[in-house]
Amino acid sequence: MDLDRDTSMVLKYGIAVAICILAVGAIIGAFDEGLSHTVMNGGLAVLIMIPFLSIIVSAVALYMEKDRYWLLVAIGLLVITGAGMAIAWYL
Amino acid sequence: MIVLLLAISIGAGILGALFGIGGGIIFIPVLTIGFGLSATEAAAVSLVGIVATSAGSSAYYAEKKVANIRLGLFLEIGTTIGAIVGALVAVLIADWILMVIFSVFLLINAYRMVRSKGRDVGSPEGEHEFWYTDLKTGERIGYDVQHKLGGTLACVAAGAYSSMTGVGGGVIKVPVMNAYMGVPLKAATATSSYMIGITAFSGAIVYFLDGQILFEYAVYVAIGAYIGMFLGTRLSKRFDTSAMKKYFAIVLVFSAVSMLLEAGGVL
Repeated sequence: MDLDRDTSMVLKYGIAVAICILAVGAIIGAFDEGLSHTVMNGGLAVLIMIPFLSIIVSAVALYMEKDRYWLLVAIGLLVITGAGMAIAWYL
Repeated sequence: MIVLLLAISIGAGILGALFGIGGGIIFIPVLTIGFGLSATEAAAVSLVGIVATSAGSSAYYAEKKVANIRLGLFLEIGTTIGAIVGALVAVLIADWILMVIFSVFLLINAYRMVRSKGRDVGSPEGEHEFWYTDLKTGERIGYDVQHKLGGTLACVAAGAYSSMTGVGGGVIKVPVMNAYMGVPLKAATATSSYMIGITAFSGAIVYFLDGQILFEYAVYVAIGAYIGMFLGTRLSKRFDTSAMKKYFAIVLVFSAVSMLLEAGGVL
C-alpha cells in the first residue's frame, strides 16, 4: 500500500460516486420529489463521509508501511474527530 | 437560479483547487446576500461545497505527491480540537474580535507574500524530511517542517474560526504552513486542500444528521464545486510560485476585507 496513492483513490472514487448519485437525484426530482430527496440524501451522506473514510484508509496505509509515528497521528485524529462528532451531536 | 448557483460554485471550486481554500469565503456571502439563506443554512450548504472541492482537488494533489498527507493529518488534530473548542466558546467571544484578529493576520501575510518576490522555501538538493513535485517544472523540491507546535496552535485557532463561520480555514492554514512552518507554497496549498475537507466534515455531518442541509442548494453547490475543482487543478500546472504568491496575496486581502466588513456589520 502507498499512502498518497491509496488516499487519492478513496477521495477520487468517493467524490465521483457521490456526485453521480446527487446528479441522478436531481434528475429524478423532475418526476418524483420524494424519491429525489431520498437519493440526494444518500449522495450527500456519501459525499460528507469521504474525508473521514480517507483518514481510515490513510491509517491502514500507514499501518501497512509500518510507519508507527504517523499511524498514531492518524488514529489520534480519528479519535478526536469521532469525539468531536459525538460532542456536537449531543449538544 | 440553478445556472447562477452552478457558475458561482464552479468559480469557488477553481479558486479552492488553486489556493487550498474551500470556497466558503465565496459561498457564505453569496448564499446569504444573493439567495437569502440564513447564516446557518448558508454555513451548512457551504460545508458541502468545501467537502466536494477538498475531496476532488486533494485526490489530484495526493496522486501527484504534492500534498503532504502526513502533515495534513497532524495539523488537523489541532484544527479539529479548535473546531470543538470554537463551537463551545463561541458564545463567550464576540465574533468581531476574532474576525479583526484574523483580518490583521491575513493582511500581514499578504504583505509578506508580495514582498518575498517569488522566493519560496525548499530546495531541490540535500536531505530533507519531505519532498514534493512542482507540477509546472517537474522538479522535486525538498523541505523540512519547522515550528510544528506553533503551527498546530495556529491550526487550533483556524479550527475555531472555521466552526464559527462555516469556512474551511484554508486562508489561515496556507500562510501558516508556508510563512511559519517552512512548507513551499504549492505543497502548502495542496496540503490545505486535503485538510479543509476533514475540517468541513466535522461540521457538515452534524448539519446533515440534524436535517439542516438544503438539498436544492447543496446539490448544485457540490456539482459546481466538483467541476471547478477539476478545472482548477489543471490550471495549477500553469502557474509558477511567483505568480501563485501574487494571486494568493489578492485572495488574502479579499478575505481580510470580507472579514472586516462582516465584523463591522456591513456583510
